[in-house]
Amino acid sequence: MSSATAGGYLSSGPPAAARIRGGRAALALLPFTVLIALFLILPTLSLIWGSFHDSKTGAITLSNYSYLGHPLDLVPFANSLELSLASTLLGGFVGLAIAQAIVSSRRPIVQEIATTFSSVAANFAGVPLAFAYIALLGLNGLLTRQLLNAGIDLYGGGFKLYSILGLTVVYAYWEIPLMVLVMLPPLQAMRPAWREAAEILGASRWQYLRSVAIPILMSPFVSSLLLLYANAFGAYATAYGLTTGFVPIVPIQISNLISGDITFDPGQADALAIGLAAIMAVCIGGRAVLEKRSARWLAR
Amino acid sequence: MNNPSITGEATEAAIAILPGVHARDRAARGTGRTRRTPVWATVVLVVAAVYFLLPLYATAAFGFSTGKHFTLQPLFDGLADEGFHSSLYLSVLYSVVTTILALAVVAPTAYLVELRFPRLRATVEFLTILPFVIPPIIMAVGLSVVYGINSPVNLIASDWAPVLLIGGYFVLTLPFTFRAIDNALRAVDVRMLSEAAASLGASPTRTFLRVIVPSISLGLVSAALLAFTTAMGEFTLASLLGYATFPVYLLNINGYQPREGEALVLVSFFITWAGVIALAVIARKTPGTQIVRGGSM
Repeated sequence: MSSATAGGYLSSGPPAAARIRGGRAALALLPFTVLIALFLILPTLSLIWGSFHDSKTGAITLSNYSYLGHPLDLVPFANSLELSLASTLLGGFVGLAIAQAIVSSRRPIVQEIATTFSSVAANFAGVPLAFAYIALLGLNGLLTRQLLNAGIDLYGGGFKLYSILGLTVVYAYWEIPLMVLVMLPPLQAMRPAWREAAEILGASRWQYLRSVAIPILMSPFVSSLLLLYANAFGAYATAYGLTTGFVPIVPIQISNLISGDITFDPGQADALAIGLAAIMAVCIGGRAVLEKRSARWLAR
Repeated sequence: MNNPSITGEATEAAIAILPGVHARDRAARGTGRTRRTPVWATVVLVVAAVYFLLPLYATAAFGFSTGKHFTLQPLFDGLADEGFHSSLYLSVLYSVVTTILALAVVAPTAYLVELRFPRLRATVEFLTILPFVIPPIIMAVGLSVVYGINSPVNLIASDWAPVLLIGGYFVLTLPFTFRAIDNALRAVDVRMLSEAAASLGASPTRTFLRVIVPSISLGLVSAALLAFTTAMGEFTLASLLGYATFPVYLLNINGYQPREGEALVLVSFFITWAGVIALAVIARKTPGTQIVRGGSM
């Protein structure tokens, strides 16, 4: 701690008083501890417990995880994987291009408006976004009809807003601005001097990209993709708003298992939730590792 | 410069090799580059703006029309609906309580971790990141197992039902509220301020309320806005645990009164946007890492 020397003088006061204050300070952490225990730790632990117990008999079992061995039961995971991957790649590359355009615009006013607009768009998700897209690309949507007038029959051509492809298009709407927001800081931290140095040494544009820009930006880029991926994989509200529960992706499947009448099986919901959490943990953990690596170059 | 070893040396070496390149020439070239926006960048930004505005335009075009003519009638009908009032009231109530709870609990915790329990920092930071690993859909399952209808502690069917949702929202907003407050705390010298206040005879509580809180006020406002807007727009927990909040109502009304529904979708945007734009304005005033929030919850 940089302020350790400044603080040394006073904090070395009477130890008895310090201990009393320490006790009261620990007491002040109690509300946080209780809330976390009741609404985060306890639900998580009971979820893990529930995933290893039969919902009806209460016996210890691994059958809730049987989905891992059945190709048919893994369909929601395959769909979620496809949806998340497609929307992540779409959002990732388009978002990167927009972020670079914002940086290249070199005008503070453009940068400010574009950044604010991106945070607004990134927060435009869930049920409202679902209905905005129904108005735009639904069966009777504005764009659907305009395209039909122009001779392009979207739905005749096999497009459905309520399918994995449709969900990909809708998810991209928040994935793109999210990518812009997370890639702006590393792009802005790229120093013009690096490029100039490469140019002066005779490097071509491609050589600069390959040997300087891409190696430096790779960690933040992959880290951002992981964020986008986790975000798409765990998303429920947008998918539910669009399909009211009729698209086989993991979050929807989980909700059907805890709220459906016929499909009610909390044990299996717990096991699916654990599977989803494992994917999330890999993404978030990977991000933490990558962020440490990129901090070396891009710390300001 | 944090990395003088690479940037500085390489540039100097290059200038030494190429004496023809003068510093002034490079500066002139540099300013020439800073003034002009490249054509491709303009094109990308314009296309992006159109892409992002299209769904909004479609929503407005559908919600503000009778089918043929422009009218604000669906908006007025939607705003006059009893269900809209009660659901918005519930959402605002839950969001305000969540916000107050988050500030009242997270601020002292973050302060004490910074000042007195630095060893707990890793644990607390881990706990505040955990909600990212456990998205709302998983939290909904966990909460319904512990406090649901089939549980011995059936909170959902009791008078204590609001506690469950607010507790869930506290956890859900924790990554944002903790980060916002912690950033603000780290930007001021908490130790020095606290010891100065203590040496003048202030109690720890008084120090926190009269010295620390005012010096992290922007961080607190930012945390409050993050908590409030997250709770206002939250659908997953509310829907699966059975609370008739505004986003849940929005889904239902779109099923039977689509024009009113789409008009209210715009209302919901403006609520979120007001919060997000306020956050952006605050972010501009505060240096340091910005908190990025986005995506579906």
